[in-house]
Amino acid sequence: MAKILIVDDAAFMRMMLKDILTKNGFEICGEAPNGIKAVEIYKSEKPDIVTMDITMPEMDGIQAVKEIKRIDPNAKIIMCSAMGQQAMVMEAIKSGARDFIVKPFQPDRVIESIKKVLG
Amino acid sequence: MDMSQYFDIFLEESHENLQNLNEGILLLEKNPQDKETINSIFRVAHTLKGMAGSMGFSDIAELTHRMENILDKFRNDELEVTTDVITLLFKCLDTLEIMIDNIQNDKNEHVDLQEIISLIECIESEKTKEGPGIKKDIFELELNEYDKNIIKQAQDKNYNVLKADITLYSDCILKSARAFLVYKALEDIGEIIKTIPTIEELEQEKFNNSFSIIFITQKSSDDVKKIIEGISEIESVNIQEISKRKNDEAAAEVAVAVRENDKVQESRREEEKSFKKVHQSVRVDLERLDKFMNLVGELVIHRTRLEQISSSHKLVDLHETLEQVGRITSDLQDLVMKIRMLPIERVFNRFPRMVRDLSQELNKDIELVIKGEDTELDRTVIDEIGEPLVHLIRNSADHGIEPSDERLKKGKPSKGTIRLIAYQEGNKAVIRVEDDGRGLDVEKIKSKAQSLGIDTEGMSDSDIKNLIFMNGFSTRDKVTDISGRGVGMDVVKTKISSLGGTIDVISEIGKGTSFVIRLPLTLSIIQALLVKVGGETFAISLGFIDRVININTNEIKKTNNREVIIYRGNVIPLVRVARRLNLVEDDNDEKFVVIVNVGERTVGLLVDSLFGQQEVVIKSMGKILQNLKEYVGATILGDGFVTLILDVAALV
Repeated sequence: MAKILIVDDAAFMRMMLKDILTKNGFEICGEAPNGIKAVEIYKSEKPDIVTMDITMPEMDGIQAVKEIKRIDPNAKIIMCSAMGQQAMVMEAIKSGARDFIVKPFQPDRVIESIKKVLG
Repeated sequence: MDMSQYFDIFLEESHENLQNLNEGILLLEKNPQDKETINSIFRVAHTLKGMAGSMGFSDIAELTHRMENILDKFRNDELEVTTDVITLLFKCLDTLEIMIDNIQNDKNEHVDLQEIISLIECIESEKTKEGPGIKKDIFELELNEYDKNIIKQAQDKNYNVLKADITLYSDCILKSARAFLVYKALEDIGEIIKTIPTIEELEQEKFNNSFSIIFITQKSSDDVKKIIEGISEIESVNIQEISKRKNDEAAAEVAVAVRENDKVQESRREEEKSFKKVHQSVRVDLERLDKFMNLVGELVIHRTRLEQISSSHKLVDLHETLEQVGRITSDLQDLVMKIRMLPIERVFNRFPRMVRDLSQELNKDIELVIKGEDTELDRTVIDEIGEPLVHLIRNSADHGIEPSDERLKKGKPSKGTIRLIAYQEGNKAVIRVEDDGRGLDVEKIKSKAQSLGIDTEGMSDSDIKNLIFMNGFSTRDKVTDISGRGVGMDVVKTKISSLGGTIDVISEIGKGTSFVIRLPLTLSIIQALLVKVGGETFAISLGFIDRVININTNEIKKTNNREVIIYRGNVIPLVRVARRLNLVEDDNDEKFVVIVNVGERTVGLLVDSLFGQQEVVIKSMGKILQNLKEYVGATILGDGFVTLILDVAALV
């Protein structure tokens, strides 16, 4: 089963995503509260997919996408966005994010996105 | 909008485009069936039209538009590629060139297009074949001319042109970002021509749940569908092939061709890539480059001055630094020289067209073979060498190459060949213009020389042949439109010597004639030998010097009333530089002979003493002194004195 790294500064959000994903049989290989940690875990765990929040302290999601893409150009990253973050989502897509999901999360949309990105 | 800032680039690119058109049309004449050539000509014409249109030169736009029409007819097999049409196209190009030149030179002359346009109309109406009419009215979409043109070109190149209608989930949030994901996915596999609604509207979320994208790709519509469906929150995707919709037959053909041509396209794309690489350059105003060159020159002058000071004061630590500076300045010199270098292709590329026109005009079958067009020369030389070469090639075509029947009688192939060859030889660039025509007739030149009062007694055959470079010398009785007025060859020689070069002729009667031009690679900074003559210091370019020997004046012999020296068994004519320049020779009997090679000739220059070798920067002597033919310029030496640089070619 695919390994997923969840990146979000809010523990609540991480927990929610984790619930949705584990219920659908995905394995969570790591959680990160900011971009720097995310890059670190990405290097060690090599997850199949990363869900990436956009606004985070230390290093934001867009920066983290760029970093991870630099390490692994094939990295599959899904952005987690709130409404009204259109411009930032586009920026993330330009930097190589494969898809985005919008908060508040709807489980079926999350799963659809992950499955499609996994191909 | 102020367009004047684009003026220079417009002119430059227009000239480039015209050149490309010339080359393309020549190629088309050779391979009339080659659709790729027609397409590339079309593209260039279209670019030119667009540029002229946006600069407000409606005449140029109009004429290129007419040319496009003709090319379009070629492309759709509605018009046959014949010599007449090609000649007309060339005429159009010439007219365009005149118009662009007029713009460049700020001339307000109006070029009348009526005549040429009526010619075009005549050809269009006369020769219009019953066209199959494919690819017309393919698009019911709202596409403008430009889009249609791109689509057409893509189809000609066997790419698929697809229209994807995409509908998002009705409750999709951040629709713009979603649309952008689709956009990006398609961009990765092809080129997007148009979106409906427009990109701006998509970005501002001014659409309901569906939008369409028209794009060009090599992927099949099924592949594309899969790719789009791989994006989440997409309700439905509908893909149409634009060419297929209107014309199944053509589309089917295209589909087969696509598969077969995959490899061809691959290589073509490679070509395009490499093409792009070649053009990675910066355009620099020539004036700035000249200034740069000049500054480097000044730097060299002051470096030599510093070196002189350092050696006269024996300052070791200064000397070391100066060596560093020396290395850097020579690197800098090398670099600026290279920056100024251009491939001679710039000059050569107009000749295929010229030879084509000449062979039509003279009714001779002539082929032009060009070799070494990548040989590089200084920009100034490139600008100046064109005219002399035109003269030489015209001469070869007119006088050299015989008519076909005469050639066949002599057992030569009926097609005459002119070779234009460039290559580098030491610090010289050599350009040869060779023909396999009738060659120079020594006897004819001799009698002509005598009638002009020149004594040919004791002259070698090769010297006699070189008489053709004299003013007023033409052995051709008949003066034609093309050459033979006897003003040509001496002008050629003067021009080439003014560039610091030499020209020689080698010819064998019945076999052909070769003109060999030797040019310095760069004009501004040279290595020179400093010599003393009659109390004055002069510089001689090392490029000419073969060797230097010292002799005693009693070793000078006389033959045929000329002074010579004998060196290693060779008789070398001697020029006393002092006498030549009206200076007083010093009394010392121990003198030096600088043996120089000017083209095929070897001559000794008698000088009083030698100072050694130095790098000098050639500065022009200004307008007032420019008539002094014995000097190529002046330079400032390390001690701050001005020294004249001898023009060896003019002395001997």
